[in-house]
Amino acid sequence: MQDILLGAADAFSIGAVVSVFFGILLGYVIGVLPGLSRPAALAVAVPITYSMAPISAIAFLVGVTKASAAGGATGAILLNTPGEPSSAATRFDGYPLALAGRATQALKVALYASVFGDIVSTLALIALAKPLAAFALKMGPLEMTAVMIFALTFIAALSDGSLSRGLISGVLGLLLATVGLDPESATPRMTFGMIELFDGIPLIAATVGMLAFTEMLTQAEAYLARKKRAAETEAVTPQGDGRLSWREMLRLTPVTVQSTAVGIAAGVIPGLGPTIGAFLSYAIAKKTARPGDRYGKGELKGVAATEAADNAVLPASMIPLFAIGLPGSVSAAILVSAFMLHGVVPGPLVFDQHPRLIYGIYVSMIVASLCMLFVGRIGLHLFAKITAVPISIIIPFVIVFCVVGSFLERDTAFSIYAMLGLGMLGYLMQRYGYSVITFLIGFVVGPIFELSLRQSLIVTHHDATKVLEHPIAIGFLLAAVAAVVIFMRPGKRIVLESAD
Amino acid sequence: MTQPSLAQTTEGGERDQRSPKLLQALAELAVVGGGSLIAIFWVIPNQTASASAYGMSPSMMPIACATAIGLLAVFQFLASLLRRPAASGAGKTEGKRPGMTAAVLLVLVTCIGAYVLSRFGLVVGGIAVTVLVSLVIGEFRLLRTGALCCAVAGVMLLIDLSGL
Repeated sequence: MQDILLGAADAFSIGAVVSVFFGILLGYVIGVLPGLSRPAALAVAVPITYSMAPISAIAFLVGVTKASAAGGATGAILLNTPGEPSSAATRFDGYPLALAGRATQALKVALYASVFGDIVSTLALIALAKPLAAFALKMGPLEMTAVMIFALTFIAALSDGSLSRGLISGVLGLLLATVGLDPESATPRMTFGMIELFDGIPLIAATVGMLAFTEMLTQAEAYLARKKRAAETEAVTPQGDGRLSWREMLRLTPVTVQSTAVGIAAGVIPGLGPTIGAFLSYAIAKKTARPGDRYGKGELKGVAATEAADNAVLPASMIPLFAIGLPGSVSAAILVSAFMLHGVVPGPLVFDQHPRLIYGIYVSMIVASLCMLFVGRIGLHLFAKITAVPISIIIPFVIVFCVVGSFLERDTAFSIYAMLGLGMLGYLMQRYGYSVITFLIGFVVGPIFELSLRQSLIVTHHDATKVLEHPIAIGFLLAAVAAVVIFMRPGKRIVLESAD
Repeated sequence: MTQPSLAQTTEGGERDQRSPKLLQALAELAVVGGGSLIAIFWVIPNQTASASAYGMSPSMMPIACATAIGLLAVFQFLASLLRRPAASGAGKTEGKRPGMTAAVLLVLVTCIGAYVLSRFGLVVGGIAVTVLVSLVIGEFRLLRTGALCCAVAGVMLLIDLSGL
């Protein structure tokens, strides 16, 4: 109880509240701007938190993530161009509503559904993470290795492109995570004599390069191609009364609750992410439509369905992160780097080692949800104007932040060159159908995976048959094989690169 | 005059589609599989010091990963050979991929910007990156680029003063 109160006190400190507020503000701007995705922005935002206290840093990043998910709807509704890939499904009903003069109503529904999904999902995180972590502590290294093999296989199976390319990306992430000093003997591995590589490839450089810089390369390419065609979609300005009656709100409640549940499920299962969550939730809402619902032609329920699910994913994706140290999405993987930057290793032990911080984060997440409602409601019309910022301004600005963010991590130009190298690798991977998301998750879990594997070999005395004595490990390994078999069958693959 | 049958046309079309696909698959195998072979036989043995370990030798995990990548590359090659070519016209909708010139130029100018930043500090480096990147993406309007440079310089100055 004392830890909960202390955590709450930390979360309500001026530093943490101001961080949440600015995080929400920044997140909204990022979400609204087409061309800058949430993981990319989050990767660029991590270096800003270097000098912050851990609670303020995490609160800031949580604010950025939550608000960017909510802000993505603005572009989808007004511009028919989603600010985030996860808001793409919001266009189906949001843009027709805007064309019908109900843009303000659609924006309000998107905001309220986002806040609802977010708060309920955060409560699910608070209720489930600790019991699951207690269960995870009973699992040995063999079980943990099996869980990670299953998660990586599943994520690879859900990534864009073929299953084998997804697996290659994940294993490449694991391989590059081995660069640096060997954890057992402290001998250098693949460092090419460079002292800068003794600590491994810089994590921030990897996330910034692979996500933000790669995205800017792709955006620049698309911008130059578009410049030739000069085709732009005309933006709709929010106008009219836009009031939502209680009756309308009650009509939207069942679909919002249902979509929040879908979003939570998509967050807990590693690899699904917000884009699949939002599309899945829209499909379910459409399937369970009542007579008179006009899905696809301008239905508020459609906007509520996608936005509630989208925002419910992130808090839920932190359940496996806190419980077993496994990031369920790329945003969660970036949050791992932020945690590590501040000396906290997410996983089941975090509840024993940093209880005050964890409860502080929980309270900050609730504060962030309420702050999002406040900022989103006040700035409803203002954020709509941000959609007009041209990409030719965004690209140089973000690239400068990529460079500076990487530089600040270790104060050497080496980090920038590492970021550029990984950025180019990420660009080529994306171009030829290899999943950057799977690579990054492999890269982040690499050290934990190697440690678990080493411990497993010691526990089993290098005897593979000893695995048979561990039914949970066997279960996860069989599930990994089943995922490969199921997703290899033609027509069974979900091809949705979620960017998260 | 005999018209070619539908079956013949389809077969011919499949053959036409298959040869570039085969070349693509071969190129992919050469890059990914070749890369894994280089890692297994050259990079890892030369760049990993041997040490006695109770759990795993230092090179075991990298070699296991590189081997897995090699095997998966072979699997990917075989799978792309066995996969039926896409239905006629499906490939056409993909359109031609834009060239990589812009991306390569952006990486190069960012490299120059990074060098300037490491030599002259955040403010000058930030401005250099902004100007160079703006030029690469075809932004030649002086006023807009100037305003952007001022904004970047302000932010860099703030970062410098905050002691991040």
